Amino acid sequence: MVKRLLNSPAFRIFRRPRRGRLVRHYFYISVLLIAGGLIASGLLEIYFRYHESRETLALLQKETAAVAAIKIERFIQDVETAMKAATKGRDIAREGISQQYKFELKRLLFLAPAITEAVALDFSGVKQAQISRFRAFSPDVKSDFSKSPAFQQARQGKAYFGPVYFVRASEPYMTIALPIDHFKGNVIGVLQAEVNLKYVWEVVSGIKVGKAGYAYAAARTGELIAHPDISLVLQGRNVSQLDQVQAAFLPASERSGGNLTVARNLQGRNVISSFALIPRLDWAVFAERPVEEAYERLYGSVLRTSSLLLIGLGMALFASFYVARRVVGPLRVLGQGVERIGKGDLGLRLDLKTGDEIEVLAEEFNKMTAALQEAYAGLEQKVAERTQEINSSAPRKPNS
Amino acid sequence: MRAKRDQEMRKARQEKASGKRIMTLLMAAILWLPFHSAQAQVPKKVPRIGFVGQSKHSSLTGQAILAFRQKLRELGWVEGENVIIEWRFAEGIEERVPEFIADLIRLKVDVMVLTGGRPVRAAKKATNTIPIVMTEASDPVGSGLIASLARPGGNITGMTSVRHELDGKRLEILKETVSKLFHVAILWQSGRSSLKVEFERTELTARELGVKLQFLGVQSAADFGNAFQAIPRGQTTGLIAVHTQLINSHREQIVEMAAKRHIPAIYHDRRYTDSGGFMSYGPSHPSIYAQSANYVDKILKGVKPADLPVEQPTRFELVINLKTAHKMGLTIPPDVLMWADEVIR
Repeated sequence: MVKRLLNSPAFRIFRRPRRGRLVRHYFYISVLLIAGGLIASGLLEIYFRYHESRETLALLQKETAAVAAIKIERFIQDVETAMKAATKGRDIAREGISQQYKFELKRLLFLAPAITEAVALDFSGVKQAQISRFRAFSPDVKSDFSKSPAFQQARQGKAYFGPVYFVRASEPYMTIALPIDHFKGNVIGVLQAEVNLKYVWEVVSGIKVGKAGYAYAAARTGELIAHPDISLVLQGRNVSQLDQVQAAFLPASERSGGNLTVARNLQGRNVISSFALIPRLDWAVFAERPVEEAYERLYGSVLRTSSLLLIGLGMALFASFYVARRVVGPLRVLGQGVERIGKGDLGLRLDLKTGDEIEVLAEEFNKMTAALQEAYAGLEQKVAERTQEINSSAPRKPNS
Repeated sequence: MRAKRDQEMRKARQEKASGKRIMTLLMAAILWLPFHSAQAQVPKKVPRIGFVGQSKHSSLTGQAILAFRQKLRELGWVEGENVIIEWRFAEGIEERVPEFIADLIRLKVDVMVLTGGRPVRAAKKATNTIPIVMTEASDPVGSGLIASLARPGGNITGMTSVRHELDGKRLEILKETVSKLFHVAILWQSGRSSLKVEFERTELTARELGVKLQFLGVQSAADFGNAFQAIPRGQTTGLIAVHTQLINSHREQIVEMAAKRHIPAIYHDRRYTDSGGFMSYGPSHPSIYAQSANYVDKILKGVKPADLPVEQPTRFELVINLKTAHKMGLTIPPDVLMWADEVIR
């Protein structure tokens, strides 16, 4: 009866051929749960990191471009301020624009190193005084500047910022003209200066964008005004074919998306580019950095997350394997014990001090075995008693 | 049963221990890797710069060459460590320059730094592969040294000098300083045909300013005395010494002669004013040399000279020696003084 019980399918699970199965199931389930959780959280992390870092990058680069634009604008403003001061000389108030004005022009060239030539024109556009760092001018030659657009705009009381032009096909220059007035609105002449834009190089090359990034300025027509690699400027490179430059000069209504584009630079490298405009000069300032460098931190964090993921997975594997073995080991001992009991070794007692349900189970088994042993012993005794009873009663009823 | 479990535990412990060992090995490998790769690098060839100066060897410690060396250091080139500089000084003898150039070509220098137009022309004839950085060649496009300022096109790049072009400007400054000025002597090294165009321009300016020019060509140091003799004495006379090799190498002599004869002179370089000359107006010598170090740096880093635009100096300094002015009994007008970058008193 006991043997039949022990051979029943419920107990067969503990027997050798099927022993590995539980470990495997347990192992698979825990790995699936733990790894699944880890991978899901890791991927989520990477996803958010990506978006976050893209946003931070966009913000940072936009700011850099804006700062660069402000610095370049300030450079031009400084020139303009020096010129404005020159239009307010005392001699002008007294004598109007005359030969004496050369003194102011000298001071202007001294104060603004970027100006290489300056000329003072009277209200009809005739040169009254002129000075240059390179050339000498005769005081008696009165050239006529009245046709120049710089003069025409400045005479109306408005400051003139001319297009970029290249001297000797190499150095970038621009013309700035300001009205000279006795008082606001009473224009008596024009002060015109040629500004060497090579000096903007100093402004631009001081701007750092990350490690390999840089800032540069270009005019609407695509002329490069300032670039840390001054060779590009002196070669008169035109950047109008670059996507980011075209995008920057689009009207605001046609501009799509954010102010951060991935584009190719002059060297054909992929860069992240953002820009800021200087509306007064119709220039745009770009801040660019190589894509690889910009996403370096992102890649770093992806690597970190995935290595953490791998370590987690390894630990999960190890842990579930360990736990599975911890459960299955005692179970096997239990199974072997039960098998031996099944074979009739009722004197066997299991010694499992696992401190958990398996220990309780082992104790119950021990109790059961004890009970079985007792029952067996009782049964045998009863049989012996019965046999004796029958034997002793037999002589009394010999015929039955 | 116990024995079996003990055995299992021991096995587990062993496994753990071997895991630790693997980790240690891995860490060691990570730490060792950079050292290994550093050792694996092949020692690079130390680049060589050939420098030919026209002046004396002592100018090695002069302002200009110090500026050149300083800039190179700033750019990461330490002489004797990761760069070798072959210094050659002609000591005022121009004929030695082609020899030096041939010598530097034999030494297979990576880049040559040459002062002035003539040495560059000599070098252009001798090599069209070794990059050449010129420091003060006037009108390199006109004389056919380079194709254009923006794209030199060949093996030559560097700085142009605007020194000769500034002679008109110098005349103007001198006239503004000494308003009585009527007669200006132009002291130059005769036989320099490249100066013809500039002289025409200077002549034009002189006419506009109402000044008469007297051209005094010299061929050797012995001619200086005669040349100065030819300058008429008087308060209306001035002198411009044109930037040429012969004149540069006799700086002190010229300054002294001008001082002796009380001739207000304007020079192209502040070294004249520093040694007692009256005035100087021109690009700063040290900044030109510092700039040429930039070219050397770019070329050593692999940029082709053909792609390096030739630059012109943008800053010019006016230096006035008040001591000399005082000795000659001249007062400098305030508007000229104001515009001076430096006044030696």
